[in-house]
Amino acid sequence: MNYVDFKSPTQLDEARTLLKELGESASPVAGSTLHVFLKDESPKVAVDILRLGLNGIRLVDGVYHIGATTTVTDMLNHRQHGWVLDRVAEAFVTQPIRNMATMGGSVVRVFPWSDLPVALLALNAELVITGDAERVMSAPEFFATQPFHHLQAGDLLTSVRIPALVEGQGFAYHKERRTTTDFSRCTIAAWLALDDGKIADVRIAVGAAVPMPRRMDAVEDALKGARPGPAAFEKAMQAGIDAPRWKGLHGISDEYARHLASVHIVDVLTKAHEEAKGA
Amino acid sequence: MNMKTITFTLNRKEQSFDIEPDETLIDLLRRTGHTGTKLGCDTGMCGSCAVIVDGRAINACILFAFQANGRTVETIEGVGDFDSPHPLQTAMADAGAVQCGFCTPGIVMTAKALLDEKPDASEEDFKLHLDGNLCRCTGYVKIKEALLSCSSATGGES
Repeated sequence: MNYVDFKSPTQLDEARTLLKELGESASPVAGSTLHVFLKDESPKVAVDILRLGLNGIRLVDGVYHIGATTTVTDMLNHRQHGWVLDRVAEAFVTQPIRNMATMGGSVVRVFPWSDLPVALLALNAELVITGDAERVMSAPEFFATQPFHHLQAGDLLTSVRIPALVEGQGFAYHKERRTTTDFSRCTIAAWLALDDGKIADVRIAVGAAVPMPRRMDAVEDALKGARPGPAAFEKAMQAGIDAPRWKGLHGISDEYARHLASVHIVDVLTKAHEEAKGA
Repeated sequence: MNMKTITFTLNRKEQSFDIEPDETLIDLLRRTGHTGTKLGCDTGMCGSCAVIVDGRAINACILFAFQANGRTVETIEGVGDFDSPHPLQTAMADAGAVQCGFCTPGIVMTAKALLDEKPDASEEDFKLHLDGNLCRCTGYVKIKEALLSCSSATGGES
């Protein structure tokens, strides 16, 4: 990045005013782990948003509120009833990167290897944007396009909300990669809720092997009301596996990306089911 | 270029530096004589540039220097030297865990951040926390042995 100046505001309003005044020449900076991947060489003013007090994880009425500058390490270390993002954080690149990368930076600009957007889609997250007025977007709405397009000058993603897991629910996440520093080949997250032994609700999201992370609606539809088990998971996977346009990355074919997804959809559903059963 | 002054605590001493806005922390450290911190991949993937900022290991090659303003930074120069090495440095040497030595400062800093937070770190803790430190010489067995010997869980002292 071609930073020609930097600002270090300590209040949210101050940061928003700066971002508004600077317009397109402003570049909010938090964990700073992504700039090596950005090719924009136009002169920018860096606005450090790490000092705004936007970090922290709070449980309020069964919903986790995760501040936008909460680091991935903080998500990994957090232990509280119904908290599941530690399972995603553990798969997140390496320890120094986990120490730097933040929730906001990991979701405002989606890369093929992004872990958190896939998990947030499966967990039915809400994303809170603070602008002149606060607005809340659902995860499918937020990730329907590159999310930074939702942000006008002066807008900041300030927190993410996810419902805590409760009894009868399960969540699982899988990232297919060769080494910890390798880019993802395929990422899959599943959340499901049981009622009277049947699947009352289910959400499956996929990333890396598709152009943008997305839900697998046809798989979800095939599972709702079904009795969970290997046969039901396989049948549902077959019903929806060809809905996305699979894209193989980093040396794998599109067909192999589809194959990876087909295997791991069943795997994550099985794991989420085990947890929902209380196993 | 728009030079600005930042101040942070470097190896227990508050210091001020004139920096350029797009200067990375490793460039600042190395041009001011802290050359123990090594520049490897320059993309945050190899860990040879690891330093400790506010108690946590980070990759200095991708952190902008301005982000260190007001914070506490620890480099290998603040950890120990030839005459007075840190137990982690002694353990690495004793275990034969050093060959070319390029990755060693980053490994020591990352391990120190872990042990400062969790003195009884387990083998699993080391595996997780050192997953971003690459060594192309030794393999990892001797490094693991050296680091584990410094955990209070194995009777070590860090």
